[in-house]
Amino acid sequence: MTQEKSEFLKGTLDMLILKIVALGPIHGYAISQRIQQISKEFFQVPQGSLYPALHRLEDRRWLSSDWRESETGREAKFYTLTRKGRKQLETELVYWERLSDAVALILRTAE
Amino acid sequence: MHWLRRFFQNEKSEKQLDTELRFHMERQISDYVAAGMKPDEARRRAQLEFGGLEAIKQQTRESRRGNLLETSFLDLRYALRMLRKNPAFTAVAVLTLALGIGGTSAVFSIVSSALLRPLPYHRPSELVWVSDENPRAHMSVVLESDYFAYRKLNDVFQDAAAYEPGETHTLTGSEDAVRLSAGAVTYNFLDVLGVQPALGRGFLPEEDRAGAPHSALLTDVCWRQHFSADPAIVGRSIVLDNESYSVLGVLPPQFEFPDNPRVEVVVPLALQNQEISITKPMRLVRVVARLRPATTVAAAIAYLDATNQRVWAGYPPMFAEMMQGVRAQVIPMREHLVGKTQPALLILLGAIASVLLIACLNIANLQLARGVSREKEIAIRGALGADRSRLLRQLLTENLIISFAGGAGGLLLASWLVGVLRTAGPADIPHLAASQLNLTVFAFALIVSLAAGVLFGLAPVFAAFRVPIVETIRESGAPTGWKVSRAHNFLTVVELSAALVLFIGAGLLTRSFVQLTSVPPGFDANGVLTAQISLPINLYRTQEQQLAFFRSVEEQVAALPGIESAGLANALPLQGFNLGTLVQRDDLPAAPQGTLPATGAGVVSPGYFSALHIRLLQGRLLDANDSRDAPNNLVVNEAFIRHYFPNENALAKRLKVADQGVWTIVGVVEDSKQRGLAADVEPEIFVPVEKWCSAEMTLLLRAHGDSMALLPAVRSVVSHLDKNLPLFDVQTMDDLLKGGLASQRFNASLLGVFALFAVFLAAIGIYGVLSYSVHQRVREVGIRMALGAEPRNVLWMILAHGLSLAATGLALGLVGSFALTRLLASMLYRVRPADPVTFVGVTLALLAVAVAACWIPARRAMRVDPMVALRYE
Repeated sequence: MTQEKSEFLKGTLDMLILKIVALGPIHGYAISQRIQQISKEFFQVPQGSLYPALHRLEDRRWLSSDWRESETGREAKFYTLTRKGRKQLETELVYWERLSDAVALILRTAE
Repeated sequence: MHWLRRFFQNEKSEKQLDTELRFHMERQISDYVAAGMKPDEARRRAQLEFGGLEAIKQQTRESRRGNLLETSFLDLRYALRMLRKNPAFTAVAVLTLALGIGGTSAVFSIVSSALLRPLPYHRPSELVWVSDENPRAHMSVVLESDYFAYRKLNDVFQDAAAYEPGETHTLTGSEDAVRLSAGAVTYNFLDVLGVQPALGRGFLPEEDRAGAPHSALLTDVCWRQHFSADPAIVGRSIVLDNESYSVLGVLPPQFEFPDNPRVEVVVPLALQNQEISITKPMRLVRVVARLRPATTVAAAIAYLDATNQRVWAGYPPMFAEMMQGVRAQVIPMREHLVGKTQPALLILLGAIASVLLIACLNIANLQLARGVSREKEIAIRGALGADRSRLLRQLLTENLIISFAGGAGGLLLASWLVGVLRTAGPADIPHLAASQLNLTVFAFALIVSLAAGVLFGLAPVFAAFRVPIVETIRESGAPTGWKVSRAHNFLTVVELSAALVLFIGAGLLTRSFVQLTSVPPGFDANGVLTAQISLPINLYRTQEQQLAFFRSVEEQVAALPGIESAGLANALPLQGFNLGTLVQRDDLPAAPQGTLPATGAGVVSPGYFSALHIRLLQGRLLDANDSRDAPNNLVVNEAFIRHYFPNENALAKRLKVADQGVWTIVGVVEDSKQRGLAADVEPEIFVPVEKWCSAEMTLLLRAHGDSMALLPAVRSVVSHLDKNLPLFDVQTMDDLLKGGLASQRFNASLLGVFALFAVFLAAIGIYGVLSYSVHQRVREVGIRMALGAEPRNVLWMILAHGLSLAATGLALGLVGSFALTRLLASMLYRVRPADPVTFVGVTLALLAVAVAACWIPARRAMRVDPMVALRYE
């Protein structure tokens, strides 16, 4: 739980959220469920990180939001990826691939 | 505050955030229920996972950048809460800043207006003060005839003007008679200074001649006070000393008469360019000249000396001898006007600058101590997701609040202090009355202390982000501790040494002041009232008329009930030296030229000695028998005997006094101080007023009770004899005595206040360091005590830390003092700059303060309960 690790996670969470939202309008609870399911329970997204992240992304105009009826019939806040957000996601994906390639390369070569 | 919060936090978005988070929780619960949990358990589990709803809301709010106003407001609220929680820190920090900023800017305002303000004349750097200095007579003035010679020296001077600042005239007319301070000048005076009248014009050459119709210029102050700023004053006539003067113009507001800023009316000097002769009166004037652009002061001096030797060689022998050894002096006008007070003012400035330095060190020290104790709080907030810039902003807000409060306090203090200094400061500080709070200086002091506060105030944030957050939270020890302690120790040592230097400086000045006040003045000032009377020469032409007037004043005043004795004199003790008179022993061959000491001539009535209780040592005093027709008898002082009759009986010896014939010594009186308490007494002769009466005399009276209460009766005596004669310069001898000490008193008390403040700050500094250290070492102390250490061992351990700091600081301070107190040498009277009494006494006093400041935290350490300390967090 050092500073470096939490910052690394913060950046990753933003990218994961953008990726999930890119699939279509979705509310906060569904995002956390989706991340948990897809990662096979590897990632637990605490609300204390999720909602600040969502609001931060919205604040940066990478996400937009509107209030719609959810699958249970209750009003919920749905997030949608903006064009600016899609661009950001692409940049982050490219960066992520280069990062993981580089890490993988080092791990392989160092063996 | 709730309405404000609502205003800033936008109710609608608050509601939406709440709905969003609740929706999440409800869904979680229903999912758990769907997975088979009981509703109660599902809710509990979801709530547990969710954590604090409010905390999440807060973090979510903060993740939005929001508007600047909103976050600033939150910062402000948080900062105020933190400051309220720590009232001691807040109060000390604000007070320190206020005193540092306020004191510095007030003193600097006075000094800058005295030293830095350009003279209110055109191109003042070209102006020089020209005089012929006679080292024997403590005189530097110019003979009337020499002035005319100087005016012709066009190679060095563009022009030269003569002036006299010390005249007085009585203004009569609409109001009661008013005594006006007057300056007399040659017609070209304003041209030389480059001053244009605000109204009307200056003098013409033909108006500056003896016998010309009288004319006058008014200063702005006089015009406003006595003529209600009447714009039609020019061309009108006013009555001065019962003669009509036509007003030619009004001087601009910023104009200041050289050597006497109180001058209200300016009249022509009407010098006469005549051959010098002992049969004609010779006036002495002051000269201001404008140098030619390329001329240096040194060149001007050389030129004047050469001219003087040539001119004086042709003077009659008496004058030639008087001018023996006299050298020309040319000094920049600025130096002439402010030079005397400059060293003292610069020392005060240096002193207050060190107070500001100490204040900054103290603020830094306080912030450091506080920062360390807040490291944990900051680390926790960092771990909770507050980023560095946010924390920095918050601390910055806190510091800005302190600074703002300190700055506001400083501004109040400074404007109050400037007012106090303006009225309480000694009159010899130039432009004192005109000095105002200098806002540039205030801004400078503010910025310096803010920088110190903010710089050190932000240190904990950097410290918090340098060290692993977890460690700081987990342990109560401080990983950054030793570094901080070192900074602490350093700041404290510097603070203490600076405080010691100031304290020793103040101690020296105080001791010198005490020495000075214990000098016997040679007379008894207690209960003596003095007032000056000046007879207009056009109404009292002859010495007989003048004498008759003064004689009746003295007789009638002496007859008033409650008066012990009354006397007359041409000058009072302590008010400077009378014109040097040439006195020679009649029984010795004429002494070689230039070897005779300057000798004062007091013109007194017999009542003078009894009014001042001046003791007779030998022979007799002057008495009623020493009348106008009696033989020439005089009384001399002890200093006269020392110089003229060492080891001889002077009684009945005869003296040649200037061109006034031969006189016989009939008595010797005790020395009374003439040029201030610090100066040696010069030889002086006292001749009877009956023989040497002049138009201006001072009345002295000793009352049985309160002498001031007799003033109305004295006034009515004088106005009964001549209703147009005011009394002026009315003062008690006590005030005169105090006035002579004013600048010493001012310097000593101001430096004393600075020193006390410095010591106070240093005490806070050392106290803060030790408290912090005790706080840090509570665990250590607890362990030691649990292992059997005695409380007094603990006490000693903490005291030793404090005292080692104090010893280092004091040692450095002593070295600094030895180096710096030499600057005070010229301000000290019978005290050496390295006076051992002051050095030892002050060091011990400061040591005592340091011990007291260490004692409190050390006692606290001693009372540490080992159980509590070990369970500590």
